[in-house]
Amino acid sequence: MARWTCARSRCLSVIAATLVLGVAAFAQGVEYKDGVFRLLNYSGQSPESALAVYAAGADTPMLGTYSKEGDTLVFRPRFQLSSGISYRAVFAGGTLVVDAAPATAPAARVEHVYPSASVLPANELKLYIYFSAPMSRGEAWKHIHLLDDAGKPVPLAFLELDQELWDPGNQRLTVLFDPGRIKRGLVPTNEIGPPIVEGKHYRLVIDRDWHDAQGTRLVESFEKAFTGGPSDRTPPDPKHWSVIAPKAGTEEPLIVDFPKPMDYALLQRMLEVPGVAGKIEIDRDETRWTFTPDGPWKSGAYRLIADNLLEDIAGNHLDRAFDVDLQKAVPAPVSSKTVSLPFSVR
Amino acid sequence: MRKVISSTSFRLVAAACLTAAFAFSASIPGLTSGKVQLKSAGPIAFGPDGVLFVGDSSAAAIVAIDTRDNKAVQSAAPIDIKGINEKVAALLGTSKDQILINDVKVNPISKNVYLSVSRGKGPDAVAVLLRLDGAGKMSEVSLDNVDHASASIPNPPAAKGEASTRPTYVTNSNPRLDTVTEIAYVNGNVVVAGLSNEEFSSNLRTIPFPFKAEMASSSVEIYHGSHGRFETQAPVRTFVPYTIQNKQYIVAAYTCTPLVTIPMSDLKAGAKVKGSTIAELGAGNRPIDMIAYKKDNHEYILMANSARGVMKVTTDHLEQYKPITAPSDIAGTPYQTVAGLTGVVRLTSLDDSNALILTDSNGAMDLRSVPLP
Repeated sequence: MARWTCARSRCLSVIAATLVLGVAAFAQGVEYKDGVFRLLNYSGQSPESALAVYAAGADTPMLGTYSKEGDTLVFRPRFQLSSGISYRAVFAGGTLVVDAAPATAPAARVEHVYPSASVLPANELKLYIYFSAPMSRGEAWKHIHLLDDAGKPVPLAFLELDQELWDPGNQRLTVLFDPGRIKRGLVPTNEIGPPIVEGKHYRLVIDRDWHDAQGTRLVESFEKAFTGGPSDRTPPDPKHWSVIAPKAGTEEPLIVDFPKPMDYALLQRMLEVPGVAGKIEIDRDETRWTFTPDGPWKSGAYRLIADNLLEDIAGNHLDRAFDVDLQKAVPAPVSSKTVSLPFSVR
Repeated sequence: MRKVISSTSFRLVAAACLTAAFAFSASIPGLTSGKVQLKSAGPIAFGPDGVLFVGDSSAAAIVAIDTRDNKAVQSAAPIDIKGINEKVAALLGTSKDQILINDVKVNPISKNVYLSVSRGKGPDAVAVLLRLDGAGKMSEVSLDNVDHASASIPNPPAAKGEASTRPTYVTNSNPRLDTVTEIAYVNGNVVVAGLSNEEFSSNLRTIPFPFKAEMASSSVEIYHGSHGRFETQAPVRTFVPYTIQNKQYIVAAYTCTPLVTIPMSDLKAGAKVKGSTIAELGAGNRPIDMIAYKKDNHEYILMANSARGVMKVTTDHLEQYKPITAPSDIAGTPYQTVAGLTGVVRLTSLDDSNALILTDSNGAMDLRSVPLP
């Protein structure tokens, strides 16, 4: 059996050189170049029996299409060869082994987990985990651990959907706490209670065995320590927001302070100043939203528009608590999808 | 010059091309011929005449594909494939840890099995549909020239401003995405359950099929009333079409675990719908798939769960069950756990007498048929 190891980009020269030296292999040989396998001096047999390509130790050949170019049988794999895997091109004269370029060194890490606060309500609804590079799907729940103050895993804390809630680039994962344990009156809540208990200390641990999109482990593990706070079942009330208007003629930011942390992702698209372009900044543990215009403010009347679907970190919308106690308050009929907060620039 | 020569895969391509050559207009209304480029392949479901619906979350779309796989077969051949994930990986030229089997469904006409697969796990993963025929041969469903149509799932716009504090590695593309968790064809509509990766919404969408260009999907907000006191938005995790006294319902499992019935007639655009609770499944459980069937003149729902095995729920005269409205109310619908079915990660109907299960035991996945209990 001949074996040629080739990084994808340098494969051609390595194989070509070897084929030149190996007359027998050349006479009835196979070459791999630019993602295509070629069986030279092909004639006779059916293409599948003349040349088949197998991934790793598989006994089923991989999908692809055959064509004939002169007296060469060409096999184009349906998919690019995967990094780190050995492929066997089996033909009458032997086997050509192609090692696709190995996985790269670890490069991905957890950049941040939102909410940023160190006290999270007992009915905290979700977490956003930001990674520095695209990640692999399908293994999140093996690598996200919520540990109590004794270091023991909090069981069944999260809604472990097999369809993981990633952004399109696989760099942000949204993790929902199990809604059945947050909502009041449900069997899970009554049986095992909420995942976070007020006054207790926790560590969210993301272990480094999570693979990035290249199949490489994280550079390091990640931890976020926090303490359980009281449940929050009160909708955020824009009347309690502090809106600090900028001065006319300046590029000072419009500053909005919230009395409690708000949802990081939603703050980026559910607050706006119509007609004014600018940049948003979110800081102070998601209790402050600042908006810096691209040009100086003109004096006049403005409005800050908040979408009613904006949530705090316990999933309470502006117009509705996450779970409404119908014996105490019937949700008011929603008359508008937004809340308007006027401010003046002078 | 390349010359195409005979091979199994080439015969398939040639046959598809030939079919397309004679199919200037698609045989199923609303579909057009051409290449389908799936960005992702998640939940799948069969509709009428061998039409396969594919939930493409990355493209925010439901794609209908005419499989032309409509040769009727009464009952399916038994299926028992050990290491199905290894076989899929081999076919796709990679290792089993580089594929995801996202869904498994059976064409109710041909009884051929369809798998929705990701080759790769990153954002560049390739969506692949595979077909397993009655003889056990697995092949790729070519999407190069098929009759198809697509319906979009409206996705809220990207961030209003440019968030300068956004980490530099985050591109300006819209990070918000609805992830489809289940789809089914119900009386002329594709019903789509999903979850947003941002706002906690409980929208259930219905899209009339054939899709029409001007027809936007309509969505309803699903609420759960817990014991008549607490009311919350309740995203549907999975559901199955079900008929009660000649009226079309869906039986749905919420992400917060209760099993409910929802009349299809309630799913009108903009409506706020509260499901009627027929069972509460308890803590730590996550319903995965459900099928409805009849056996010995009784009606059942078989439900695969993450923690509580496969449950057989008796659903005779569902209309007579009083909805659970109080914590002390333990009536609900009776259910029992089916012995011997462990590690089930996908469950679907194979034929009138058998179910098809995909099991996972520490990474070793098997696909096998089991008699309906």
